[in-house]
Parts: sequence; structure tokens; C-alpha cells
Amino acid sequence: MFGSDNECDPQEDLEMSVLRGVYTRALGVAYEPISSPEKEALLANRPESFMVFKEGTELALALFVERHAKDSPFPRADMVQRAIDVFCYSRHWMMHMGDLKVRHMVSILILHVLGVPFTPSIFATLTPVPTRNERLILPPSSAAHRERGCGTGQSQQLRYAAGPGAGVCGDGHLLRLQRRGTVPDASTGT
Amino acid sequence: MGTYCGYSAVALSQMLQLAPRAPAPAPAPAGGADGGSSSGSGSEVLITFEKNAKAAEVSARILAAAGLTDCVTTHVCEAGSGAALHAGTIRPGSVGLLFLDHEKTAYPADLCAWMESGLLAPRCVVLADNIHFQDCPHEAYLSLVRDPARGFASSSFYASLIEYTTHSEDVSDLAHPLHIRDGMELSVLA
Repeated sequence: MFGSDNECDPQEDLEMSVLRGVYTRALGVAYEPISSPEKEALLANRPESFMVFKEGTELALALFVERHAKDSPFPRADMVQRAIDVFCYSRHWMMHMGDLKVRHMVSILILHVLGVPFTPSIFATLTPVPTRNERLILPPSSAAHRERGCGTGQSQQLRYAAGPGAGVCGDGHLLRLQRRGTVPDASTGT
Repeated sequence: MGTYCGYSAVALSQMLQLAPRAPAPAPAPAGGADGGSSSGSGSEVLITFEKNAKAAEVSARILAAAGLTDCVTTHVCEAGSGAALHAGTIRPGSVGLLFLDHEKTAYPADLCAWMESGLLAPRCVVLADNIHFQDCPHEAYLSLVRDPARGFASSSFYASLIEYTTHSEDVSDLAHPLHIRDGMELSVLA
């Protein structure tokens, strides 16, 4: 019903490829969203399931998440979201917010609830799945990146991604937020 | 309101960890797929409501996998009854965020129940998902939140796409078929 866990299953190989991509990039201290080509590939073999509700889907999801998220070197919450997204693109449509809409939600709420003026770069800092036009920000080699403990397990509250957007917003913007007390210091927890 | 499997609760929990640590009690960002409140201690808490016990069990497993068990409280009950449930446990005027993502026909009544409870903070942010599900506007809800006489200072629509239906991320692409278009309504109390 939800795809095979057989290691020879092409769809599972694809799922693992997408998930392993996170691992590899995480170890390289960079996070990339699931790309459009990856989504397209996952969707290509998904059984038609939009607005189809089957008994057991939620339990299958929980098992999938637990299997793929438990040993992640990446922050667990990020990996859980990633695993849910992969399941839903690959095996069965579900009515979670999804990777795209949750980004929109977070960006909206950052402004209206946290009171942080929204810019794509701030958004990308705070969300684990920036789009190609919104990704950020701190190059892995930057001083601020190192100081904030990225890739060392100390930076659970902030997400960083090296990418084309790195030139749009440098360390200065993030540090300004920190001075205003908006973004907690990941290295000290304050 | 509407925890389902905990996907948006995971996202909101991460976002709320970035909230400013105000020294004095203030209207606190909180809420959820879900509803929310301040603990009164200056820290933010996320409270969610899910009427389906099986879904609540799955969300507990998802939140555990994400390492967020201690950050989210889930009540197995109707979302609209959550206000009465917390009448004696949440400081009046302390709920800074209400997120609606449950039974769509219940949005207006459940929102009114929370508004009448006195628990919502001034300038409380109300975010409702699936307001234009499959490009069909939720007129009953919109007529409530877009009426200044009902206590709202502002209300705006944010376009998005229905989750897990396309690899595209361009919400402005009018070529998208209607069945994958969706959106959220963000309303702010006066």
C-alpha cells in the first residue's frame, strides 16, 4: 500500500538518495531543501493518492519517520520534517502543511509573532528548507558560522545553508538580529 | 487546532525557540496546529488539540522522534473546547498565536470560542490554513476575520499550493491547475 521496504525497490532507493543527500550536506555543514527535480522524481512513481485516505497511512508514516530519523546526524526535528516530506512525495499524499506551505507559514509568523522584519535571508536563516531564491546565508567558512557552532550539534535553533543567496545577506545581518536580542546565541544558549 | 501527525507542531516548536526571551510577562507567541498560550514564566509553550486519538498517538511518536516531546502538549479533544479546557490554566490575554488547521467548517465557531474565552492576547495572530483549498475560498471564515466589527485589526491572504501535489514552488504561476492552489489567511486581533 505504501511502497515496499525491500532494499531493491527503486522508489526506496530514490527515497534514500534524497535522505542521504541531507546527511552528506549536513556533514558538509550545509542544508539544501528537497529540490524540484527530486520532488518530481519522487512524485513520478507515487500511486495516485491525492485526497485518498487509507487506514494505516499515519502509522506507516510514523514507522518511516522513526526508521529514517533516529540516527540522523542532522538536527532531529529537521530530519523528521524531511522524512515526512519524502514519505508524502514518494508513497502517499497526506494533509500535512508540507514543505512549501510550512515555509510560508514560518515566514509569515516570524514577522507577525516574533516581530522580526521579514526578509528572504532572515527567513532562510530560520527555516530548514529555503527555496532556491530564499536560501541563505552564512558560508560555512565564515567566522560567524564557526562561532555559532554550526555542524557541531550546538546550533539546534538556527539553520544555515550555503548557496547562491550567501551574497545577498552576509554575517552582518544575522549579527544585527542577535544584538537586538531576536535571535538567541546558539553557542551560549542565551 | 488539529494536530494530526504533528508536522506543523514540529515547525512551530522550532520557530518558537527563536522567540525573544522577554524578562517580563508579555503576550507570548504560542499556538500550534493547534492553539497556544504563555506559561506566564516568559517562555513560550505550544499546545495542540486533536480529536482523533489515533492521530494523537502518531503525533506523539513524531514529536518524540523530533526530540520535542517536552516542548508540545497535545490534548485529545475538539479544538473548540480547548478554550474552556484551559480557562483556569492559561493566563487571560496570554495566547499570542492561534493556528487553525482542523475541520474547516468548524473554523468560525472554534475561533469565536477562543475569542470569547478572554485567553487571546491583544494583537493575537490568527493563522488559518486551507482558506482557498483547491481555489475555493472559505467564505464563512473570511467574512468573520475580515470584518473589523468582529474585533480584527487586519486580515490578509497568502497564496500557496496544496501540499505534496507538485514539484513546482512558484505560487504565482497562474498556470497551476486550480486543484493544487491553496492559501492561508493571517488575521490580527485589534
